[in-house]
Formats: sequence, C-alpha cells, structure tokens
Amino acid sequence: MANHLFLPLVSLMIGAALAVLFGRQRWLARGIVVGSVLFHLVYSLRLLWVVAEHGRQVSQAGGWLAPFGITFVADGASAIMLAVASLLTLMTVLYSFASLDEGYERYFYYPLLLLLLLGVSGAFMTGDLFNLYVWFEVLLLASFGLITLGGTRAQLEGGLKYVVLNLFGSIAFLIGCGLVYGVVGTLNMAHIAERMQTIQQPGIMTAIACVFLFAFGSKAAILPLFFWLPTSYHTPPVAVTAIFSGLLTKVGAYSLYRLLGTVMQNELIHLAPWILTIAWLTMLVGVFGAMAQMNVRRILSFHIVSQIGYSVMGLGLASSLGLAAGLLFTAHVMIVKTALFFIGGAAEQIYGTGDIKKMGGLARREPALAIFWFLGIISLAGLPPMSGFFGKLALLQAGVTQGAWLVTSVATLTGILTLFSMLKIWNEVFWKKSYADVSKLPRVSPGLLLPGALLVIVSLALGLGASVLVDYTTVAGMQLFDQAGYIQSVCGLDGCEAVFQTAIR
Amino acid sequence: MLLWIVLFALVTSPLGLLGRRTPRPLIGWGLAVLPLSLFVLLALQIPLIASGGRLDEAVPWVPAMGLELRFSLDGLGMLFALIITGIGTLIVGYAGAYMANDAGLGRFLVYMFLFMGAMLGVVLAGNILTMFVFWELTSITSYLLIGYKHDYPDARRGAQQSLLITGIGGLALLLGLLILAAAAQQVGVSVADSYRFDALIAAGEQIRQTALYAPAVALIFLGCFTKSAQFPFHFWLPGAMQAPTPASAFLHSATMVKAGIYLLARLSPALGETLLWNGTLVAVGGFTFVFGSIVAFRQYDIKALLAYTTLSMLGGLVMMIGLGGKYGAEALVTGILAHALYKSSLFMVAGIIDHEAGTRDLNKLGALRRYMPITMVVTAIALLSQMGIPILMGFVSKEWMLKAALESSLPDPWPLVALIAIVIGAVGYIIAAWRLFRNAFLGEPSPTVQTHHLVDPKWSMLLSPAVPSALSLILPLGLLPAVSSLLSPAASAVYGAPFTFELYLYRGVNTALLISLGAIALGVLFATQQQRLAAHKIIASIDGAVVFDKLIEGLLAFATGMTRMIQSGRLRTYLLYIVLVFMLFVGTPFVAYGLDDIRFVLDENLRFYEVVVTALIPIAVIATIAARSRLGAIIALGVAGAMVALIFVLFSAPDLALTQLLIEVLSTVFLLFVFSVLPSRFASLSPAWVRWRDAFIATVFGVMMAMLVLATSSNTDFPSLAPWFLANSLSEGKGTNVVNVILVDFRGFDTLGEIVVLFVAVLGIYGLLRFRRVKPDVRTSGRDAQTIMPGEDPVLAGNGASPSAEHQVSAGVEPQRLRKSITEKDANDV
Repeated sequence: MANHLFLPLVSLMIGAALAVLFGRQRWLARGIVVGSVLFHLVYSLRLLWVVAEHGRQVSQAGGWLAPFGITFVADGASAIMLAVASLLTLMTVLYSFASLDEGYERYFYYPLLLLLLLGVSGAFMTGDLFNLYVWFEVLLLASFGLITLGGTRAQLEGGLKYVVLNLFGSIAFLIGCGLVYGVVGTLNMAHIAERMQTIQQPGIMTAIACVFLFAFGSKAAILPLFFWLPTSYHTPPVAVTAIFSGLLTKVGAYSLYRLLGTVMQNELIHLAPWILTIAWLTMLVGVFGAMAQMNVRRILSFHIVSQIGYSVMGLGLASSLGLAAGLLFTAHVMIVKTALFFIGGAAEQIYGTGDIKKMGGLARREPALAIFWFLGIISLAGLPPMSGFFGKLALLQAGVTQGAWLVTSVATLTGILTLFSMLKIWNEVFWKKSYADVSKLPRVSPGLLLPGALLVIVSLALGLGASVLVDYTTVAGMQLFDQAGYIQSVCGLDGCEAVFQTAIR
Repeated sequence: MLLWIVLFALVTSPLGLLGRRTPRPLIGWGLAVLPLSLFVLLALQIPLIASGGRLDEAVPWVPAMGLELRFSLDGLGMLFALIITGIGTLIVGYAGAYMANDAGLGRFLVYMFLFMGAMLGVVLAGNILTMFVFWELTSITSYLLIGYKHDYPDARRGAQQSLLITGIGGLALLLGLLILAAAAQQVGVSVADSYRFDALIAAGEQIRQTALYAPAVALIFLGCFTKSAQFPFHFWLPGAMQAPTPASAFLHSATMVKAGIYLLARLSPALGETLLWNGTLVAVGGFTFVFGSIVAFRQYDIKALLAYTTLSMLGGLVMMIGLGGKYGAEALVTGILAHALYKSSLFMVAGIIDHEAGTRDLNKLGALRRYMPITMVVTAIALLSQMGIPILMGFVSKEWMLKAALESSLPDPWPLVALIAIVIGAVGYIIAAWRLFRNAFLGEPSPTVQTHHLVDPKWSMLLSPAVPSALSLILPLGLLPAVSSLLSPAASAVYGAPFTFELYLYRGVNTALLISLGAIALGVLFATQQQRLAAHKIIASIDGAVVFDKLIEGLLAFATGMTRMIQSGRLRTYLLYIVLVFMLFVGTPFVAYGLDDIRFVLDENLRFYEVVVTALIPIAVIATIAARSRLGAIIALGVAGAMVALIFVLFSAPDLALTQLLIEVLSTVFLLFVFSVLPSRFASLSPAWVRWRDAFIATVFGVMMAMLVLATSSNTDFPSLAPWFLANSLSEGKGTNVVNVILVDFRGFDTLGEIVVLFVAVLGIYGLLRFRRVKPDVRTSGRDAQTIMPGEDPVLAGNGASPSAEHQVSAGVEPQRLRKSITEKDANDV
C-alpha cells in the first residue's frame, strides 16, 4: 500500500487554498505557489525512482478494497508524465512572475495553475474510470478559468469555443462511463479489464471503446476533433498557452494510452489500423495547418495537433514497443513545445505582436534567445542531438519493426514539413532584418528567457543522455501493455473478480 | 582516440569566438592549429592503415535503440578524415584573412568547427545511426553557414533550400537505414549488431535477397543523392553559393557534398552488385556528370561555375561507385583526392578575386595577370588539374575513370554510357576552365578592374589555395607510390576485399590514354569557341530551384486552403462536425459489430403511467424546439425536466429526483433572468434546409444513443458492485443511507474532486467578472490576408462577448455536475 500517492494531490489542494487565502500578500502567495510546485516536482522525481525500484505503486482511497473503492496506481507512464508536468508547471510559474501584470495575481491566476496541475496529476494516477472523469472536470474548469482570465474579447471568444467543444468530449466520456458500467458493472480499471476478458458480447465493447477514443481524442485534439485548439490557444497570455500546450492534450493522449493500451487492450488491437490512420492524418493536417499560419503562436498551436499524431501512432502500433516509443515522444514534446511557446512568447512580448511579417532582426538583438529557439526547433523537427530525434527514432524503429509503412513514411515526411514551418519563424523573426528600428524595443529579461532556455537544455540533456529516458520508457511501455500485471498489482494475485466474489459472499 | 578526435572538434568549437577580436588573420591561423593537430594525429595512423589494419572503438550510448558511439578508422575513413582536417586547416587560416574586417568571424568559425566535428563523425562512424546523427549535424551546421549573411533574402533562401533538400534526403536516409537494419535482422543478424557497418557488410549477400532490399536502397539513394547534389536534386548547391567563400570552399568542394559519396562507397560492398544499385548509380551519376559540365561553362559567376563543375564531378564519382569492380574503387578514391585538391584551391581563388576586385562576374573582370601574377599561377595549376592535362593529379584521376569504364563488368550498355559521359564531361571541364581563366586573367582590363587597386593578396590568404594547388602538381610527379599506399586501403574498403594498386602517370599507350588525349583535343577545339558556346542556348536551362519554390508555393496554397476549410471559425460548424464525427467514430463500429447485441425484451411489469411519463419527454422536447416564444420554450423544457424527475421517482431514486427538480427550478430562474434582456420571440436566422438537416442529424444521433444504451443494458453479464455497498453501508460505513455513504465514504475521493471543481468554478467566474487586463502582453495580430481563419471575429459580433461567456460558465458547470450525479447514482443505486 503506497499511501504517499495522495501526497501530490492533497498538497496541491492545500497549496491552492492557501494561495487564495494569502492572495493579497504577494510574496507570501508566490512563495506558497513555488513551494507546492517544488514539492510536487521533488515528489514526482522520487516517484520515478520508487517505481523503477519497486514497480507499480498502488493505494486504495479510504482503505476500501480494490473494486469497491477508488484506486490510485502509479506506474512508469504515470511517473514520467507526472514529473514532466510538474517541471513544466514550475517553469510556467517562473515565466509568469516575469511576464504577467499584477491583476492576474490578485484574481487567482496562481491557484488556478495549481488546480490545473492537480487535475492533471489526478488523471495520471487514478485507477478508476469515473474518478478520471472527475479529474478531467477539474482540469477543464481550471483551464477555462485560465484561458478567460483577463477578459479580453479574443480570450472570451476563444474560451467559449474551447469550453463548448471540450464539454462535448466530456459528455462523451461520461456516456462512456455509463455504458461501461452498464456492461461490466464496475468502474475500477483493473476490474473492467478483467471482466472484459470474459465478456459474452464483445461487439458492444468495440463501440464503447470508440466512445472513449472519441472522448479522449477530442481532449487530445486528434484529427477531426482539434478545432478547439488552434482557435483558442493564441488568445490568453503566453504563459497560459505554454502550459496548456504542455499538459492539456497530453492528458488526453495519456488517457488513451491508459484506457485503450491497458484496460481495453483487445479493442486496441482490434482498432489499431483505424487508429494508425487517424495518427497519420492528424500529423499531416496539423502540420499543413501550421504551414498556413503567419503568427508565432498559431503556428506552434497547429504543431501541437501534428505532434499528437505521433503520440497516437505509438498507441496505434498496439504493442509495448509502440507505447514505449509514444511515451518517449510525448514526454519529449511536452518539454520542447512548452519551451518554444516560452521563447516565441518572449519574442512576441518584446515586439508586442506575434505576426511574423512584422517582426525581425532578433538574431542580432537577442542572440541568446535565438540560440535556444534554434535548438528548440531542431528538437521539435526531430534532428539530433536533441531529444526529438530519439522520440522520433523510437517511433520509426517501432513502425519499421511492425511493418506499419504508411504511418512510418508520413511520420518521416511530417518531420521535414515541421522543420519547414519552424524555419519560417526563424527566417522571419530572427534572421530577417527588421523593418522597424529594433533598438527601441525592450530587451528580453532573464525571467522571460530562463524558463524556455532551461527546458531546451533539458531537451538537449535528454538527447545526449537519451539512454536513461529510453530505458525508462521501455519499461514503462511494458508496464502499460501488461494487463495481467496491472490487475494483479491492483487487486492481488487472484485478480479483482476473486476479491469481489469473496467480499460478496 | 577516434571518439576523442570527434569530441575535440565539437568541444573546441566555442574557441572560434576568439575570431571576434583583431587581428583576425593572426587569430585565424592560430585557430588553424586545432584542425592541424587532428590532421597530424590522423596522419600518424597512416602506417597502421596502410598495412591493412584498422582502429575500432565503441562506447554505449542508447543501447536499447542499437545506437552506440562506435567509431572505426579504415582506409576510406582515413582518406576522408585527412581531407577534412587538412583542407579544414587551410580554410580556417584563409577565413581569418578573408573576413579580416568582419566581426562575425567568431560566429562563423564556431559553425565551421562544429561542422568539421560533424563531418569527422560521419566518416569515422562505425554504426549507421551514429553516422546519421552526424549526417544531420552537417546539414544543420551547413544551414547556418550558408545563411551566414542572413540579412540578405537570397542567403536565407539558399540556406533554407539546402536544408530542406538535404533534410528530406536525411529523413529518407534514416528510414532507409532502419529498413536496412530490419532486413539484416530478418537474415539473422542480432538487433545490436544490425546497426553496424561491418555486420551489414558481412551480411550483404543475404540482405540483397530480402524483400526489404529494394525499398532500403531506394531510400538510401534519396538521402545520398540529395546530399551529394545529384540530378534532379542538384539545384540547392548553386543556391548554397550564398555562403561566405571559405564555407563554400570547405563544404561544397571537399566535405559535405562528399558525404553522400562516402556513404554510397561505404555501403557498396553490402548493397552493391545488383542491377538496381549499379544501374541507377551509373545513370544518375552519368547524367549529373554531363549536365553539370555543360551548364558550368555557361555561368558568369565564378562561384556558380565552380558549383556546377563540382556537382558534375560528384556525378562522376557516383558513376564510379556504380561501375564497381576494383577499377571503379580505384578511380573513386583517386577522384576524390584530386577533386578535393583542385576544387578547394579554385574556390579559395574565387574568394580572393572577389575580395580584391569586388566582383566575381566574369564579364567584369579581365587582365588580372598584370596585377595578380601569383594568384594566376595558383589558379592555372588548379585549372589544369581540373582539365585533366597530363602530369597533374586530375589527369591521373581521369585516366582511372576511363579505365573503370573500359574494364567494367557491368552488362551493356552501362560501360558505354559511362565512357561517353566521361568524354563529354572532360570536354565540358576544359571549356569551363578555359573560360574562367581567359575572362579573368587574360584579355583587356575591364572598368571594374581598372578602378580597383589590384594586387596579389597577402600570404596569409594566398597560402591556403597555393598548398592544394601545388599538391596537385607535386603528388603525381614525385609521390605517386606514397599516394597509392594511402589510397589502396581506401579502395579496398569500397571494393569489399583487400587489394593494392599503383597509380602511375605513363605506362605506354593504351585505350584510356588515347581517349583521354582525344577528349583534351576536342576540349581545346571547343574552348577557343567558348564565347559563342556560352551565348548559345545549348540546353534549355532547367532551374530546379524555381521548380522547387513553385512546389513549396503549391504546398502552401494547398495547406492554406485545407486549413481554411477545416478551421472555419464558426462554433456552430465545429459543433456540427463534432456530432458527425461522433456518429462516425461510434456509429460505424456499433453498426458493424454491436447491432446484434440489442435485445428487445417486453417488460411484463410495464405500467401505463410509465409509458405516459416517458412519452411526454420527446413531446416536450419537440414543443421546446417548435415554440415561437421564449416563454413557451422554457415551459416545454420544464415539462421535459419534470418528467425525468418523475421517472426517477418511479424507479425509486427520490434523492435523484430531488436534485433534478432543484436544477430544473434553478435553471428556469436563470433563464428567466436572461430573458428579461432578450426579445420575447425567436428570430428565424437559419434557412429551412439547415434546420431540417440539423433535425435529421439530431434525430439520428438520439436514436443511436438510445440504441447504445439499449445494447449495453441488455448485456449485463456481470453482477454489479451494488449489493456489496448495500451490505456494508451500515457495518463498515456507519450509515443507513447508502447513497450518502457512497458519496462521502466509499467513493469519497470523487466527492472531494467535485468540491474542488466547484471551487475552481468560483475562482474562475470571480476572476472573469472582476478582472480586465489593462494592457494585453501581446496584441492579437492583425488579420490580414495571410492570417487565415475567417469568420472568427464576427462570431460574437453584435451580441456582447462577456454575457454569453458568463452564461456559458454557469451552463458549463451545472449540467456537468448534474450529469455526474446522475451517473454516479445510476452506478451505485440498485
């Protein structure tokens, strides 16, 4: 029993409450926020180690037996996601200190950020289908609060679309929960997985799996469901866009991994060709969208969609190898994407616009910013020695090994298109001579530069020292795909049904 | 040691920043010690390599992916590494003098050193993935070098084109290498070994039998042809002449463009000896050879002329790999050496002329012999070598190329094709070389030349082209045995088995010599007519760069159109898409697999009032839609809600019914509040067909959901958890109200989460209502023609943005909360 799994959740709740209470004492509130995110980061790094040493960590809320209460499970995938999420939140907090005006602080920006992390963390660790829904609600509302905070017209416009389209996904999720409960009579993921093995009518389960594919797919912004993302992501302050890009769609991808990869594995194998089709379509359409844009954050937003295609490819390969590669890629892209939003956002902030036609001359004016941006884009495009190369290499290796030629080819092609559209920003914003007088622009403060730079350095380190992350995700992928092991970890060696039968007697 | 050589080159690259200081020529030559030391270190290994030995070392990097830092030094690697470090030394010194007045030299040298390290990595790597890592690094660093003068649009364009072309090739190559490794694994090579060059070469025979061989080779070709500027991917090379001349001299004569040649040569023992391999290489290489040499002599820009002769020669080298056999291997390595020497010298001379006269345009030069005699001699030797005039290195190289074609064991017509290509190429080279020499150094001085005060440059600049030029003369005259002993192991690596050969200048009259002399005579004949030839449109100029730009434009137009279509900006449209997608995602598998699961069971206990209550719900919904006034609509909606509450009562869930009623009352009150500011009657904004379409979709959607529920509820194979909750509620949870115990105890964590949700909602709404950003950190960019997504603006136009958004918040929270509690109780209530 690993009751420490509740620590990161409870600590964030307390942190958020305290930050609201002491919101008027600016520095105290900042201290509380940084403290609770730091605690979360330290905890999740420890969790990484604990999971590596001792395998899955399981805890039952309130001490109720597994299929009856709510279970929390942390395996390799959860631990990686948790660690990356808290790292990104920490950087976002630092970036926000440097970039946001005071009003945000007074109107609960930081508590909302902590609650967003809470929702994300809960989703990464829960082992209960309905509880997962609850965490999705937390993160949806927190993100809606963040996206509209500031109340400019564009934000409200984007926020409205964001919340309406996301609610539809949430409703589908809820419907899915109901349908699953209707068929297998339980909500515990391990128990669902176990009962599904002996189900009489597998046909309906395929439809239900598709409900979840739709629900999480719309959260993850896969091909025909990504409208909400590019339409809203460029409206809030840069810091908000950055953390959204790092966390939101990735929770959707993670949930797909968890639910289809672990719980509904047979359905995943059944649906794999379709999922791969979605994957390559998402890659292409996303990158085409990015190519068509002329605004820094819009370009980056469409890239989020494109990269989700890679994560979905890992899922669609329907093997522990594929899931491991997908996890590796997802962890990498979370870091790099957020870094690019920070750096591009810093450029936008000193220019006062994100229209790349109007920008220019930053390579000479801000060489440090330029260096980190360049490293960031080669990482995003999947070029060595950055982490992006290894993420893509893992996916391609898995694709080649399994003979998934089409998706592998498209994944390769998308790399060069990504590079092309990122070079557009590089050419226009950094290399091109500015039409305006650059010397009058404000300088990039260290606070704006540092968070992005640190994340790029992390990406470089994960590239040069890729072996650590690759080995970890390989194990995590195997854990994720190991359904029997998951059930045994949650309910004991005899499985959940045995526990259920004993208890019911 | 090899790992340290590569690392040394990469790690010492920041030292290049010293170039920001003056005196730059001194610093340049000072920094040239870095590559020189590597050159010496490598040269010390020559005896070992010449005696047939090799160096191997490996450090694990990412073992799970088969990626290890494996480096090996054999003859081929040695040849390339010596060229890279040797010419690199000269270039770094030259760059210091060439860019003496440019503070950017620091940045430039950093890129150069990084590039040099990457290039060494490519030629020393013993693992295909490691090789690929450095391969991509050369693309990236060369991008930075080509775009060095990034204030100019042409430089940016040239840089981008070269990176995109080599990038596409690079990715194809990666895929090809992975497939190659997969093929090796198929024939029984272990996963760890399948990424090693030596293992691949050893298993070459079997790999060629697999079905994966052809796609692997095709993709590897794509990678090598783009990198080595083979037709039709050649056009980035002339564009890359935007790079500062020292970079062109290094990258585009001696190193980067040869990476493709290197890889083909390296893999040829593994993949060669098939018609696919040899035929393609001879065809593509031969065509590029001829094409480049013909286009070359029509150029006016010296660097462009050199660029085309370079890509022509690259074609020649590719052709040699294609011809195969011992002679092919010999001709290849000799050609590489000869070309590296004369071409780097010529590029540097071009830089000197540009530097001194301020132009590289052949029409604006002339009579430089009077002002720059030493430069003229250096140029003349290099050009003679390029022409393949006897006793120079270029002559030896051409002899061996002809031999390779004559002795080739390929089926007809490939040897003949190669022979013709060599002859045409040789003639073209002579014309091009003569044209360069004549227009620059002979004739009458042009106005440009007269206005400049022209002299030979200082030795700090002249030394660099002089050394390779002199070597082109000295090597064949005195050192051919030494050269042969260096080249023999290199040729062995290409051939796949150890052998030795000896270069010579003259050993009696033979066919190759006769053809060679004939080509020279023909060339001289044409060269006298060079002005007229250059003016003629011999072949329509195929400007690949323009085609490529058009391609990119087309792609962009396609992307823009597609995105505009998908991302319409209208929320209504998005919702429509989403509902349709749901039907596609869920409906398709349901119809395909799940329909059989629906079972209609007539419930014998069905009561009349149950039917009435249930039937009233759809009626009320239709009434809501059909109502003309807002008040009518809300009353009808209230009926639907009340009926749902009644159903809860009928199925003994009083607490759910209470919640439902409460929500109904609350939302009615809310709506009435909002109605006070809205007109009392609905306006009809959508055309009739849209309404009917939407009604149809909604009906289908509703029926589908009903069927889904029916299908699941008729398939309850498993006992639910509910009895356990009933049994344990009092004993374990100390409560008689099971629902309460479930909410606060059994599933208390859900409830905690929901409390947080409410907390978040309060924070969010409060902030939204009270806080307005004073100045946005980033202005929303203007939506000019380029920024797409039309229709985003007008969505909320005219109906005030904030009220609807606030409404959305309340509407967003309540139904969720409501639905949640319904499902939860559905789940737990018996």
